[in-house]
Amino acid sequence: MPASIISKDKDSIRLRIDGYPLSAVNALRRYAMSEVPVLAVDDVVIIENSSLMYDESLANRLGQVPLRTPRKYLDAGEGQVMLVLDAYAEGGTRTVYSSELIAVEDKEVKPVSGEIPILRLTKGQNIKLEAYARLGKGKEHSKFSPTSKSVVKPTPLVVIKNKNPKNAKAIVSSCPRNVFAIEGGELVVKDQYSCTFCMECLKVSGDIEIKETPGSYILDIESIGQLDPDVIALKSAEILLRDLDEFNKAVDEL
Amino acid sequence: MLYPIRCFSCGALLGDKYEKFNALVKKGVSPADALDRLGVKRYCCRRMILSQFSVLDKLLPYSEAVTELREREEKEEGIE
Repeated sequence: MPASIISKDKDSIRLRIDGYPLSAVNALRRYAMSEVPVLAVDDVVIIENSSLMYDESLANRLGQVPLRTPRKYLDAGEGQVMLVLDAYAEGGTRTVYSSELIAVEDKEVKPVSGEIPILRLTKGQNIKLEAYARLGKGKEHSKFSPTSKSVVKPTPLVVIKNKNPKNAKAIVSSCPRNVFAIEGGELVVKDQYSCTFCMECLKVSGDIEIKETPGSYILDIESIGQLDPDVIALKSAEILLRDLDEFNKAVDEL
Repeated sequence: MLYPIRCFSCGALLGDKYEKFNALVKKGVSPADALDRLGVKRYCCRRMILSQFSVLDKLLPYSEAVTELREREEKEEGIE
């Protein structure tokens, strides 16, 4: 299989891709960052604002709040959602959190975390606004980017030439990514995918060899929360293929 | 003015982590451990939280005072 999952959790995925050139894997990486669309607040109608924060910086903050994007918007390729924020500080000073930013119709659209402070109000201040979220791409504005980390590196190949080196402990502690471990008195490679080619272990010992696996790359994607990481990976491949098809058609027509 | 919502460099969500970070540090956890517990791994995100200073918190007491003053004035005007 050309692609396999090395590790996956709630907000990140690590894929090993074999048999493709670096340029193809890199295209996938760039598409994950800048071509997979997500919802973000783009237009804000401020009805009332008596807080200390200027309308502009308030709108900027709202734009940065990541919104959970349901799959149907991705498939449709467009969409607009209206959200409202209506807060008033009756007693003393209070913080308005993103949980108070509520979608009017589609309840599936909501901030990734409800604990993001949007602004702080003191006694008597209030805020009332309508925010319009729309689907956009990361190449347009980074608030539309679904990834915080999207990285490609060659698959490391860590070879231990001598399983019982004199300074095994020094080798283990020399590695900042904990690639090595000692098991049953022997030096073993615990997690070769974590190797960052820093070559620190080579300074300690000549018994280790670090190479790149030819034609094999690791694609590491970390999601901000709008989409699941596996959805980002699949969708970036899908959009890349679609764009290549369009390119092919355009070339044929020449 | 208030805590940034995203990391300036990578765009990761940090807005919901400042208050948790401050609470942990107040409890006596070292800042490095607190960041690890919150899952802030990269140093671009870590410097965002470590070097944060909220100007809004410094300004709010003045705003409160002005509000109180205005309320008092309104009350006095009402009496007259």
